[in-house]
Amino acid sequence: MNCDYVLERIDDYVDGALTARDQEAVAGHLDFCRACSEAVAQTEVLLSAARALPKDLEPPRDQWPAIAAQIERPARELRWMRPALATAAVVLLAWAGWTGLSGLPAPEARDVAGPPETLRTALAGAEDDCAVVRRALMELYEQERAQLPVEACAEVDAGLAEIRAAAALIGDALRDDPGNAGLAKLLMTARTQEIDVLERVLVAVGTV
Amino acid sequence: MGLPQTSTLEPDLLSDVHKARAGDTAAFERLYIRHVGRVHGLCRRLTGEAQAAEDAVQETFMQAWRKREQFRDDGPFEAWLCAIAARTALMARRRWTRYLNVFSTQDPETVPRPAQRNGVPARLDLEQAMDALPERARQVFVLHDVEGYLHGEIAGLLGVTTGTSKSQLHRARKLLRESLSQ
Repeated sequence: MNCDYVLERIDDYVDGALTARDQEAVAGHLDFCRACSEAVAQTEVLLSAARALPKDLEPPRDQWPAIAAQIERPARELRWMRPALATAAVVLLAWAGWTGLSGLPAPEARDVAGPPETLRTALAGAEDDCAVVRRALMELYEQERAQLPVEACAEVDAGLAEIRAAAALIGDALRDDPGNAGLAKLLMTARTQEIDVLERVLVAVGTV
Repeated sequence: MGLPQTSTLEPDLLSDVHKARAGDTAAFERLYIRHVGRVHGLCRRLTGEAQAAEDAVQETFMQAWRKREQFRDDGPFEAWLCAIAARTALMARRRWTRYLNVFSTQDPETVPRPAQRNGVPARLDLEQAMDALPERARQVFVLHDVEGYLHGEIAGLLGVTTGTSKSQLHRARKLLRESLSQ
């Protein structure tokens, strides 16, 4: 039995995890090998020191205020945001209905009976409301990522990326055609879909 | 790990756990005060980095709050909280490592030992030596030799085999022996 063999098994020896035969063989080697004996002694001292480390370490600052703020904030924001978001969506859907559009028209199928400015204002307000809800939900989602399997996070992220890409395309089309209620409806659908995905994930992990 | 049963030992603690479970934030704050040192100790040593540890502590208590109804009285509250802390700290370290990888050319798995780093004294105490370990080796050492986890439990937490856990422990102990003997 040489030193390399013993040093590879030093941890199991110290932890008492070797077979009785190997334990005896290593002990026999240590009887005449100073270097290996020293390594065993150092390991035992190391383990003794590790086990004696205090389990409590005082944190550098009090984090309770931040924790308390998080406990209170998300539910409060979401509670009053949801009705606002629903109202905004209803307004836009009503507008789309009033303009005589049915279904989800292609961007070129314009049939707007009202002034583009009114639609733009309503859409901007709804987008602002969506953005606030989305930010709050994304914050919660980022906090919960640790509890989700990596593959699940990847799927959620990919889905969100697709929805945002679609919303970006619709937004571009709307800039060229600001009075198109059908596009506005599509954009709101994309925004609410993004929020739905986030809410479903957070419900699944028990956050909301 | 030999922790006393909550329901048989500290009536005040059990009362606060019940109140927190019912949504009493003042009771949850008392639980925070009682356990934050323990949670911080575990997070600090697992992450090896003060900021990542702070994030992990905050996230641990937020998760404990969100999942408070899942805690059952037949087990020690501290063990339940520490299980959350261990998972959270390991994830926090992964995020921090990704951040470091983006903004640094240094590979966290090959961080030089303290004796070689920017004039730090060669002889260090155990906490500093642990901080300087390569990430995975440090995590296994903390979980096994400081916290008393078994290799099977460590393997589950880290998503590795028990063989990997054992080899990382061997690596950690070897590096610590070398570091502390200088």
